[in-house]
Amino acid sequence: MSSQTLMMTAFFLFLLGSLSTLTRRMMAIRLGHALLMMAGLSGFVAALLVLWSGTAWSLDLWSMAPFGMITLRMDGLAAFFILLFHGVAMPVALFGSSFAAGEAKPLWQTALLNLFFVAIDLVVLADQAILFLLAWESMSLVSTGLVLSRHEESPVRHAGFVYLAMTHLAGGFVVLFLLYLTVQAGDGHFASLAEALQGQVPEVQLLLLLAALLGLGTKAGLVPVHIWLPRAHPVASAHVSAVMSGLMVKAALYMLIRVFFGWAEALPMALALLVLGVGTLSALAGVYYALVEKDLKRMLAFSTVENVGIIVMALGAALVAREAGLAEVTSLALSAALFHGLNHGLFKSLLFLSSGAVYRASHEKNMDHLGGLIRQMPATAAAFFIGSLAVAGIPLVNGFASEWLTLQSLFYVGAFGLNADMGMAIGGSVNSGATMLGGLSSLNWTLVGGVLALLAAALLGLVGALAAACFVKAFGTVFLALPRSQGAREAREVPAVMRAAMALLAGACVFFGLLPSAGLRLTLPALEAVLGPTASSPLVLMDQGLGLIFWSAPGNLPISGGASAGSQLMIYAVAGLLMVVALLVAAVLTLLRKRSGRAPVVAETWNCGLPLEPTMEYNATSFATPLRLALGFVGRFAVERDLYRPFADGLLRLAQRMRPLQGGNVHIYLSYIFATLLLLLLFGR
Amino acid sequence: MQLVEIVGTVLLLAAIWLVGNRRLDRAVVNLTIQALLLTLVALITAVVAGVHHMYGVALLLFLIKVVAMPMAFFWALRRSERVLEMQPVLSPVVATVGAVALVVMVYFAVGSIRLPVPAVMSGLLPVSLSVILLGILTMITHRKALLQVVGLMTMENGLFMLAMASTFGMPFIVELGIFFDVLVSAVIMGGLTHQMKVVFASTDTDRLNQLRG
Repeated sequence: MSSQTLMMTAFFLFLLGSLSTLTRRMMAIRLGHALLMMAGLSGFVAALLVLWSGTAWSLDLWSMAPFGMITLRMDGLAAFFILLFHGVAMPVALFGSSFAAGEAKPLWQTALLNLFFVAIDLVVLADQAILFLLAWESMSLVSTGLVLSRHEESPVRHAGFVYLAMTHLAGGFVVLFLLYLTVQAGDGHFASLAEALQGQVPEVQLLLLLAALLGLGTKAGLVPVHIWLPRAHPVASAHVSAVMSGLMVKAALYMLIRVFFGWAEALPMALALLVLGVGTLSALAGVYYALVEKDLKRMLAFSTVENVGIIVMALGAALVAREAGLAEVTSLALSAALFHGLNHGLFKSLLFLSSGAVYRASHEKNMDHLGGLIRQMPATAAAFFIGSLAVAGIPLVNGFASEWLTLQSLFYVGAFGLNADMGMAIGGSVNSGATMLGGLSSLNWTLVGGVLALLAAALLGLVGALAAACFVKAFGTVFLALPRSQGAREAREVPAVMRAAMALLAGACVFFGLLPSAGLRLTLPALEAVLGPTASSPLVLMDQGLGLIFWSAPGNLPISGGASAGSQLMIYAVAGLLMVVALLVAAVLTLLRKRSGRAPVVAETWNCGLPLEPTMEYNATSFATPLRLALGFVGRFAVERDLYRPFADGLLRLAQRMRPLQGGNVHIYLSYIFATLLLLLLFGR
Repeated sequence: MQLVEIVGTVLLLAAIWLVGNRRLDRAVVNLTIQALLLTLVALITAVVAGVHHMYGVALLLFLIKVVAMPMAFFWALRRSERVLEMQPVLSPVVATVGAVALVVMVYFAVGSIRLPVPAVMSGLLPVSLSVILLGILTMITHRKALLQVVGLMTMENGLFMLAMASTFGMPFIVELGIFFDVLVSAVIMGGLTHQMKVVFASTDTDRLNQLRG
C-alpha cells in the first residue's frame, strides 16, 4: 500500500473511532481506542514510507474559489511529525483503552481524542492556508473540549477559559499572517505563500514573521505567552495531557520551522536572536516553575514549557547560524531541534502516562501527599524513572543526545561569532541580515550573536542541572520514602495494559538513547524538505567531529578546516568518561570520610518527644525550598500579575471609557447605524 | 425619462416629505401613497417584463400595504393618540434640507453604477437607496413610536423597489415570504407600541433610555 492510501486509512479509522462512541455503549471506549491504535499504526507506516523513500506526495482534494486548490502534502518535515504523532498515538491508545473508563465522560473523551488526531494530522499535512487554518482552529476547539471534560469543577472551567482566550489570540495572529500572504500571493498554496513572503519589503516581512512567532509561539507555550499551558494541560485526563503536552505543542513548532526555515530565506539577525532569547527565557522560566511546583501533572506541564524552550533555542541557534552563513551548523541545530521534539514527545507522554497511573492508584495529585510507591508499583516507578532520566538529559536515555547537539550548535555559533570579530571570518558576506534594520546596522551582529549564543549555552547548562534537580525531587517524593497519605499507602499497581503502554514508550526512550543516530537519520528528510540543497546529514557532520567541541581555538573550527577525526561514538566516550570521573570523585570522597575515622553515628532522629510520622519526611516542597530561595528573584516577577493583569485592567478601563457611546437612547443607536451605512457607502464608492 | 423612473422619483419625493412631516396622520397617509407608488412599479414591471406573477404581487401589495396596513395604523392612532402634532428632533426645514443633502450624497456615491438590467430599470438604484436611507433618517428625527414603524416601512419599500428593479420579480414564493415578514413585523411593532402606551402613558421613544451597560 502506498503512503497516501495508508494515511487516508488512518483518517478513516480515526473518524470511525469517533463515530463508534455514538452507540453510547461502554464497549465503545475500547473500540474507539482500538481504532485509534490501528489508525496510529497506519499513519506511522505511511510516514515511515515517506521518510525512507524520501519522496513527498501530495493529494488535491477540491478547488475552493478564492483560495485555489485544497491540497494535502506529506514531505519530509510533515512525515517526521506524523511519525511522532502516530508513534505516540499507539501507546496512548493502549493506555487509554484501560484508563479512560475511570475518567469523567469517557465516551466524549474517546470521540474527541480521535477527532483531535484528525485535526493535528491535517495541521501538518495541509499545504494550503485555508485548510491549515481550519485544521488549526479545529485542533484548538477539540482540545478545549477535552480540557473541559470535567467542566463541573470551577478551576477546570477557568483553565478552559484561559486556554480558549489565549488560543484565540494565537489564532488571530496566525490568521493575520497567513491571510495577508494569501491576499498578496493570490492563492493560498504554501509554495505561493513562501514566494509572497520573500517578495515583501524587509519591514513588512519582519512584522509578518513577528506575528507568526507570536501566534505559533503561544500555541507552543513559549514564555511569556505560556500561561494557558500549565493550567490547561494538567486538568485533562492523563492520556489526553500526554497528547497535548507531547504532541500539540509540536504542531506549533512544525509550522514555526516551516515558516522560519522553509519560507523565509533571510531574516534580520535581531529576529534570529529574539527566537534564541525567547527559547532561553522559556527554558529557564519553565524549569524554575517546574521546580517549585508540587502538583505532579502541573510540574510536568511546566517541564513542557522548558523543553519547548530548549527546542526553540536550537531553532534560534540554527537561524543565527544561517544568517552567519554556516550551512552545516544550521543543519546540525535544526536536526537537534527536531530530534529533541521527537524525544520530548516520547518522554513527556511517558511521564504523563505514569503520572496518570499514579493518580489512578492513589487518587493524589499533590506530590507532598505521595511517597513510597516504588514498593507497590515497581513497573510504574521504573517507567517514571526512565522518563525522568530522559527529561534530565542523562546519557543512555534519549533526552541527552538532542540536548547535547543543541549545546554543540550554540558553541559553534558562539565560537564563530567571536572568531569572525577577530578578523578571521570564514565567509565573506556574513552580515546579510544585519543591513535589514537600517539604524542598527552599525552593530556587529555576528559578534553579538556569538556572545549571546555562548550565554545561551551557559544557561542551557543551568537548565539541564535544574531539570535534573526537579526530577530528582519528583521521583524521590513520589516513589521513595514512606507513603505520606492514606491514598499512597493503599496504592496498587495499575493493570497490565497500562503498564504495557508505559513500557512501549520507555522502550522507545531507551532505543533513541542508545541509538541516537537512528533518530538523527529520521530528521534528514525533514532537513532536506525545509533547507533544500544546503541541508547536510547530521550523521556525516558528526563523523567530521561537529558533534563534539567544548571550546575551539580561533580559526580552528572543524567546519573550516574540513573533516577532522572523530565519530559519533566519541560522544559516548566522553559522556562515559564524565560519568566514570564523577563516580571516581564520589568514591574518593566516601573513602576519605571513612578514613577520617568519623564514622556515621546511627541513632534515632530527635523527635521532640512525638512519634515520627511519614508527614514529617522531607518532601517536594522542602526539596525545592533552597533553590526557590536562591532563585527568588525569578519568582518575584509573576508573569500573570505583572504582564497580563495590567493589560486586562487597561482593557477594562478602555471599555469603561467607551460606555458613554452606549447612551441608551434609541435615536443614538439608530444614528450609529445610519452613520456607518453612509460612511460605507462613501468609502465603497 | 422612463415611466418607472418617474414613479420611483415621486416615491423619493414622498420619502423626503416624510422626513420633514410634523403630523402623525399625514405620516400614515404618506406611507399609503408610497405603497400605492410601489404597486405601480410592480404593475409596470409586470407589463414591461411580461412576468405574470408580478400582477399577483401588485395585487398583494395593494391589499396589504395600501388597504390593510393604513387601516390598522389609523385604528391605532385613534386609540392611542389624542394630539396628532409631533415635536420632531429637528425642525422641518432643517430635516428637509438634510434629506435633500442625503439624496445628493447617494447620487454622488452610486449614481454612476449601472445595474446589469434593461435600461427601463437601471435608474432605480440611487432612488431606492435614497428611500432606504431616508427611512432611517425618519426614524432618527422622530420621537413617536409610530414614526419608527413608518420609517422602517419606508426602508422596506426602498428595498422592495430595488429588488424588483434588479430582478424583474423574484420567485413568487420569495415575494410571499417578504409580505409575511412585513406583516409580522407590523403586528409585533403594533404590540410593542401598545405596550409602551400602557407602561409610559406615551409612545415617545425618548422614554426608552434604560438599555445600556
